[in-house]
Amino acid sequence: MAVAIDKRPLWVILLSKSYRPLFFVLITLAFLGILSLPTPAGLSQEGHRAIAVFFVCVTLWVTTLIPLSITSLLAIILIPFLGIMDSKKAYALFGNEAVFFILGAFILAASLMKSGLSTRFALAVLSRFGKTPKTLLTAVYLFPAFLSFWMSEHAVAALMFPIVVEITKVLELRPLRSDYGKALFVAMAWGCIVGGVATFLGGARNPLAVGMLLETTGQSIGFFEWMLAVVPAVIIMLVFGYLMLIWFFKIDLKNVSQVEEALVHRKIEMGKVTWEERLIGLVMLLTILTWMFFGKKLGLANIALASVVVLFVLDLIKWKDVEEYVNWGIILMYGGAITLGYALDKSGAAAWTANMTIMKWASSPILVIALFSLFSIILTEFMSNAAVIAILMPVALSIAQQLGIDPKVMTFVIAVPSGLVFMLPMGTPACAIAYSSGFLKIKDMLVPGLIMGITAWLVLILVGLFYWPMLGLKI
Amino acid sequence: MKNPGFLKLELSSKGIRLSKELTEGKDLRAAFLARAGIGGGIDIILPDDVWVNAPVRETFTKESPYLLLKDNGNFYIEKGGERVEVGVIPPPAFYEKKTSEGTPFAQVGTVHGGYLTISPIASCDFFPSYENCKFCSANSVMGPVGKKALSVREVVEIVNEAFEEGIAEFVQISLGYLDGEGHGIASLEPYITAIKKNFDTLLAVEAHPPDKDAWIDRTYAMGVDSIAYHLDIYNPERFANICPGKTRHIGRDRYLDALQYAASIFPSGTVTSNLIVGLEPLESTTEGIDHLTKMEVVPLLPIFKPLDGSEYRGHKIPDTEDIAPLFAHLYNAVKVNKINMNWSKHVSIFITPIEGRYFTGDQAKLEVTLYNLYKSKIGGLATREIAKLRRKLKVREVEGSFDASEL
Ligand code: SF4
Repeated sequence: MAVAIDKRPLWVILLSKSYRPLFFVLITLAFLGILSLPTPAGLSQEGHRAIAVFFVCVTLWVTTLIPLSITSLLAIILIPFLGIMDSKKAYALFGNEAVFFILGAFILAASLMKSGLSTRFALAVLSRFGKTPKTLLTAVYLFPAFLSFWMSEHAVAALMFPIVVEITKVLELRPLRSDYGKALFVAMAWGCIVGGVATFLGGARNPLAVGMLLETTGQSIGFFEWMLAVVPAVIIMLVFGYLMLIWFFKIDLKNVSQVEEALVHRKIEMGKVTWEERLIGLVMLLTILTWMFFGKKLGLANIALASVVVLFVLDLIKWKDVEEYVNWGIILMYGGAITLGYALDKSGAAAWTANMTIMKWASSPILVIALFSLFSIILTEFMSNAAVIAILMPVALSIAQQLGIDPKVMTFVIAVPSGLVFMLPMGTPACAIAYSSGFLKIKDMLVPGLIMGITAWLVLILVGLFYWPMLGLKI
Repeated sequence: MKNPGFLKLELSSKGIRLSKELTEGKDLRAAFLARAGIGGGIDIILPDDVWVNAPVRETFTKESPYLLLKDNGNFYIEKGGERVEVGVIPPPAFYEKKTSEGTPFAQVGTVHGGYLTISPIASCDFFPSYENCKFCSANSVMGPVGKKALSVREVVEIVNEAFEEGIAEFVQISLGYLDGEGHGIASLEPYITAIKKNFDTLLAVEAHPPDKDAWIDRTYAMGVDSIAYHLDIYNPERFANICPGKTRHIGRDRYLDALQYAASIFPSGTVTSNLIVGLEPLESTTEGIDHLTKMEVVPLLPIFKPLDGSEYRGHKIPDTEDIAPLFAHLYNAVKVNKINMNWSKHVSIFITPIEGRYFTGDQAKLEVTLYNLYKSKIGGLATREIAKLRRKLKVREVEGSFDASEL
């Protein structure tokens, strides 16, 4: 178990610890206070109660006083308890297709990780392309980006991390001092982050957003459709990110020939490609192709789960491995978020909140899009990206319906930026992993991350304004 | 002889001769069973409750002008006909016992001041490649003969013996350089965990800076209350020359970086680093004191001793008169930088920063009152409890929050 030391002065820590019980009392009081207020005109009683639940969940998701997944469970309990929706419906939403798609994707990624296929792939690419400092940096940046198209960016960062650490060791780069060392870890993190927004597989938040879209509006976004809309933005961000890397971090060494030797050595240690790996690779490839071309017809979750069954039939993965690699907390969190989003929409609470807040002063679609993507990209630096989606989506979808914006556009403008954490370690594991290398201080990533964040936001707006309409998405 | 600080300085650098009665009698016999080297001498209590560990076995002690003698049941230090009455801490009785695995306790741990020092892993990887520090005699004295590492059980046994006998209050674990993860700190973890689990004590570790700061976090989290990364020599050229292993495998900059980082993790006054007096010009030791204290690191100033078994045996011991101002400077620098000087209690192997006051003429009434408070039983209890509470508040398990961030 890794540890971190809280560097705040003791009195601040003490105060923050004593907050906890006080905070729960305050949340409960505020919750009861909201419930006891007279229901405003234009809002149903269910809507009123849904807003009270939403308030509690947002507060707990933002503060993470209890795990995000447990907050979701609380939502599931409170919704039927307060008569917003009956229990049967609330629990049924928990079994949403998006949740099962995420489960399937996790199990597929687990098989890749466990077999070592993904690591082998990484070693092959890095040793092939990493001949000079620049090409090595490019490979460390682009390869995780590409891999994050197909598996969780978190898993990619976790598998890349030991390889990049080994590279820094072989090159004798000094933590906190070597610019090239810093560049490698930032490249790894940014690669994972930017690549992770390209498909449904890079971050489970994307299917979560689509799941909320489906439950609220009945519309969905296909695997290929998502890629078609997002990949051009990803490519522009990747190019810009690379320019930022070489601008901010000097390439302060001339030769990286030792790296190839070390990576080849690791490849030899892994031995020959096994049949197991080949089969897993094949299943993965077929799954991706089916998602792309038959996703709409067959259902993404169905395809994912069918592939999982195939993995078990061929004995390529054991249940023990699934338990080890699958983050069950995510499944619970997503189920709860979808249920709450649905409750907010159906009770009219989302529309009422939208009317009372953003709609009061932002009536143009472009402004709404710019605002929501900005909220998303800022919030995600400080909190979990799934929580950002759970908080913003219900209100955003309601506004989209009122302003006639295609709700799919709103899904993109919230889900894509929610994955783009370029500065701080709290927002995404890829950043946290890069920081854990010991090469980076927060200030190293602050300015480049800020510029990268602003650029990504602008890129997304421009792509939204000029490219998405070509795909038939109405703004 | 009148100034206990000065006398401590003299005795720790020149050692002391024993009168015939003491050499042949039973009083101090057990002391000769302990490992030679740093802390392997006799603990003497000078006036003003100043403790000193005076070397008695090394060759250079034969030249010492000081003589320890017993007269009418009282101990005295004599020099040129002048006498001062002192107390002598009898060597621990457990020195004569063995662990359950048959290792003589005296080879496993040394008691000096209130500290029990243990070297559970008896090696330093600099020796086989001839990269050892030139002043060091560890190779010839370190650890139990014929054993690479002690078992956790043996370590717990020795701490238990020392505490039962009431001869030590704190534990210090000392580690040579080890290749591999954390440069040895990882291998110490089971010992540290076991000691903390079984005894209510403060624990100090002398080790080498790990490659990554995360290991420093981990060191604190595992229960270490005070950490020392000994730079030993401040002057870069001297450092490279005298400590080739440290230079090659760790680097002087890493020592300084790690110390600075550790000072942001550990409580004030508990991060220390030796600067050996007498192996570099006094100006560079002074510079070292200033540099370290600015980073809130406490410099400790052991005086160079030409230890038997070290490459520098036979080298000249620095003159006490020359080096005395350094200790005054140490006291002032620690005070100006507001570093807590109260952690050390009955330290006998080096002059503590607060003892530096003896060289300044400053009575330091407030500091001494506070120090005495810390030294009292109730002060000791409070210190231990505060240390525990601090750790509980400061240490976070990142896997938990990491999972959360994935969500
Ligand atoms: S690091 Fe230097 S001082 Fe420490 S044991 Fe090794 S050689 Fe001796």
